Amino acid sequence: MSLEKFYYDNKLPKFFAIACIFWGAVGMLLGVIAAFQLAFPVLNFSEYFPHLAFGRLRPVHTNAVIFAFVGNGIFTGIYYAIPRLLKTPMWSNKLGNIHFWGWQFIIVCAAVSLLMGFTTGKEYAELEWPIDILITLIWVVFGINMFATIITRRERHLYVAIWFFIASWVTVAMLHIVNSFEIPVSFMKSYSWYAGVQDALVQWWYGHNAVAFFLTTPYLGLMYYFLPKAANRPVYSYRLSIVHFWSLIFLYIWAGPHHLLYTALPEWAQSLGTAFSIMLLLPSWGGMLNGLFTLRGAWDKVREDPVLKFFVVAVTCYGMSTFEGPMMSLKNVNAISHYSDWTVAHVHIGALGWNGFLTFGMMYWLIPKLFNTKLYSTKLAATHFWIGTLGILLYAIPMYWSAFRSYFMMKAFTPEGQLQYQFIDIVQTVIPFYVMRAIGGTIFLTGVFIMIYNLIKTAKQGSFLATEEAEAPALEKEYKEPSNSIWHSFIERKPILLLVLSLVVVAIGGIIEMVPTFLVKENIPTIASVKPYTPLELQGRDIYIREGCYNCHSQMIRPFRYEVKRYGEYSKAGEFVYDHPFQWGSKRTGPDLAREGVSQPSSVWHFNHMLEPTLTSPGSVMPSYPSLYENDIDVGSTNSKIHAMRKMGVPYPEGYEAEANNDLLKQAEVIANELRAGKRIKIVSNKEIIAMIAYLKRLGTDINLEKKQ
Amino acid sequence: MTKNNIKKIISSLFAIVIPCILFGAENTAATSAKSSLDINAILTIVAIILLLPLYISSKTFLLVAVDYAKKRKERATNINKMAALALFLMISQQAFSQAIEVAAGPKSGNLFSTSTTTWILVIVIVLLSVLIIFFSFLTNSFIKNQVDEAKPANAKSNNSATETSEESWLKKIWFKMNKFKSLKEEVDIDTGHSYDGIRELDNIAPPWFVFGFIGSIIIAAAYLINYHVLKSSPLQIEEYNIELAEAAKEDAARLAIQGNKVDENSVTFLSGNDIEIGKKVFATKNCASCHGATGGSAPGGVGPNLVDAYWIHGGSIKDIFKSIKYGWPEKGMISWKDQLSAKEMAQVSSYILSLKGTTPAGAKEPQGDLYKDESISNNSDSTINDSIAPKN
Repeated sequence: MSLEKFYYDNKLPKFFAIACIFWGAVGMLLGVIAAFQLAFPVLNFSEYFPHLAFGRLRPVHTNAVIFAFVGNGIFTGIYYAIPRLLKTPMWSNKLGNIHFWGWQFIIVCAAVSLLMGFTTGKEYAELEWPIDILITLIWVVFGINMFATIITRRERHLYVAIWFFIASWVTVAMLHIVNSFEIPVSFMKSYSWYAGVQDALVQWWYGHNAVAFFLTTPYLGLMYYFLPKAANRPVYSYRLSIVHFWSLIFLYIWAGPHHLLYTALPEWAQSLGTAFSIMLLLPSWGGMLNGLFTLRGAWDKVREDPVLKFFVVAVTCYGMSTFEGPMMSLKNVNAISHYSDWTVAHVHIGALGWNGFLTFGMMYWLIPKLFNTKLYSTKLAATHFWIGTLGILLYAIPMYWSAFRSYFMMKAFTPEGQLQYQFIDIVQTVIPFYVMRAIGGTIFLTGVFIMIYNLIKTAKQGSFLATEEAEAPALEKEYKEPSNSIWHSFIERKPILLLVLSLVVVAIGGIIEMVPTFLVKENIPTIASVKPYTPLELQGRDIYIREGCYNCHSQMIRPFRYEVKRYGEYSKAGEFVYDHPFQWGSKRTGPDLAREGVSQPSSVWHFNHMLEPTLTSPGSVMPSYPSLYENDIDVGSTNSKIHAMRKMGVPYPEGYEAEANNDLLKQAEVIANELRAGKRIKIVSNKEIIAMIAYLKRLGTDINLEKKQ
Repeated sequence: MTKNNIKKIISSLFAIVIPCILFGAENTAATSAKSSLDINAILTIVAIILLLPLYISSKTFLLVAVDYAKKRKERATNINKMAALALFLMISQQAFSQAIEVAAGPKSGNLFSTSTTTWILVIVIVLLSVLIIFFSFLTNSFIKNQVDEAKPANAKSNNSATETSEESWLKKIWFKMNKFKSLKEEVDIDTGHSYDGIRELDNIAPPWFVFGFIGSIIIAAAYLINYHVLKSSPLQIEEYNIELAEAAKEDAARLAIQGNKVDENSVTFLSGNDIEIGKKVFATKNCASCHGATGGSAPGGVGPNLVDAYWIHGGSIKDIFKSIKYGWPEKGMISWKDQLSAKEMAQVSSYILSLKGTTPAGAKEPQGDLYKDESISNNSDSTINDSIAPKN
């Protein structure tokens, strides 16, 4: 056996690490700004920068943290760990560079386009179709590079971290492609291929599993590499790795519908979501147990080593949020948590605790290694640790508190049988909690800046190791399995088989939930009175999506007495058949709008409200939208929008494209006349606000027409 | 240092969480009923039973802590820690007694029947359990400290050898629960794998993990069977109908006590205290935001003034009541019948009528017709949506 000499490249891990930390700071800063905006609406600066209103900023924050911070964190770990675990350099430096620069380019495009209002209106998948295609291409480049590296390896068996990387890669590819089916209307504008209930199901199948396969499984892979490395302890249980890997990826996919409990989604699908979430608890904990038990015999080190401290809290937060998740999937708990700040607290325990702390721990371990030196200051790192922990607590506790408080207020009835509180009362009570939360976030961010300082100092005192030399024998063709190995080791030496098996395992859940929802008519009973949007309403809807209204307003009334009393008749599946994309939302910072047209049919009210929300609703935290009163409706796009809708089966008559703008102008004139009737309002009928009013007045009214007839 | 910090954080956490739960309890006092007496009764009993171990564990802790403090008095190092703990203890005891009042307080049997009570009880029980565990831990750590200190300095070097024999019962249970092997036996369970120096052990998964997983699969199956095969629990719409039926029953019961409900035909002008209440409702329930705090509407105000003799929709007490109850939605006046009770609407109507003739500063110009008692205004209800729905 002759040893072969080769070199590990450290440049790309360094690049990715820098990008990860940079985007992390940017993403968290945006989060802090958005958090303050919720408490102090004046910070939206609507009159000067309509691009920075909460509805546009929040998607930039979520996308930046998920895909830029965590994404680059994943790639940092993968480009560092995979060569070492496989005893071979990455297959192609060129592909690696394309991957790196391509991913950063996507991030910049994403941030700019989201702030400009180009959005598909589907959470965590807001990016428009040209960027979606770019993501697919770069993901394929990454995949080719990773698999070619795996194929050319000098280590026969794949380590558990690599199973997680492979499963994550293939599942993210599947999720992204299926959820991004959209029909382009123009450059940077498209409609989701799916409508209403089906769109909701696909979206939350995606949304839930983006959490699973972007924020969880790749990070478990990182944990399996960096935690035993930093602790210098063997992984606790190989068998537990096998059990929890396969059960986790199989069960995770099914749980998407737990984001849609008590909605118009067919109940069998909801129940599947709940049932699989219950089963998901222990497989998720498998990762936590394997992580924490690996530290057995190293707990004395945990007290001193900041890297291990970060890892311990990260893994504990992972355990907490994966316990909380199944609890929130139980129907009665979900009734409280859905649309509330509880969900926000939950995801931030995951994002700040699990992803954040694991990344920080990884960086504190990795950067000194890359620069061949010791960490500049262990004390500063420990300070970062305490500040970060405090930040998480100060973030989460007010959010839990606010969630329960608003729930009890929301459902309180007076002895007379009336709702005790108006929505605005609830908004007013939770504002102090929003302030506390924003302070918690600021504290967490301060810790990040301390880390940046510490790491820059570390890099400066060392010298960068661009490559590291290593030696290993090539794999021999013949392989005789040792007698003590178990059946699973067969899969571990067949990467393509592992890839295919992972794909099969993750495809099952989605197929079983989606196919019947798409094909069986009873799942979405049709309602005859539900008609397509008029051209003006359609334009208004696109403005609604552009401004990100769905970030604060749901359009889904659940069948509870207190919701029906507050918002109107509960929502039916058949009402959303022309909604490309669906706009059910996931958080109610403002009231539900599913029946806005019924409960507030006054054009004048909407006109005043969008101009200055506190005029009609004192105490409101909604930003104002003065730009809608200046911008003209984009009538040039009506033709292609109607055309795209008809292609997807929305029953506009043949040739309606040509007449659409006539109808649009007529309806706009009707609304403008209503506004002018009071003699106080002067408005030209071609302004965007007119389209917006038309859309809001239409919401939820179709079903009422049926009742009248 | 770190241990101290953790304890402080935990204690402040409790101090925050407990009143939070209590606040929730306050708010639910008015919520409606659902009969699930047996569950709540059982939970209450469990909570009361749990009181005993809590009492014992906290008392034990106090005894041990006092003892410990006495012994270390001369050194006076842990004053901080003790103060934090004592504060926490005070807060938790106090909050705890309140929580028990909530749990065990109901005499009417009314509280026994709300589903929210179930939740509160569950939370109380969880909290009790956590407190018990917490006190046990603390007591344990104090005792351990004492043992450590009692040992002569030279014996400390032998500590590692006698480590296993001095392990706490909790640690022993923890070892058994997870079927841990001692670190010395690691060599026997090494898989021989080494990936970039990372070795893997062949420990078995903790038994509770395996049984828990199997258990969760059974629970999940039972969940699906319960809802979709046996159909023994109500699905969401059914659940909603049950909720409505219960609310209707309550309504009926209330009506039976209060006599006939006030409506737009029977409403009369109320005076005295009712006008004061009406004024309050007017100010707090958003009337003022469109009609002005004085009822005169602001110069740029959205709603018409309510102080002159001109009315758009009629100015009798019955007309005003009707406007409030059903609203004039297409003009921006929403219906208030779901947010105000009939009595409150009558009170606000009376208050509004009492404003007649006042001349607040900056009042809006008159709108509508001069109201004389017999005039009735008509208003056509235009359904805009019909005219603009797309043709297909």
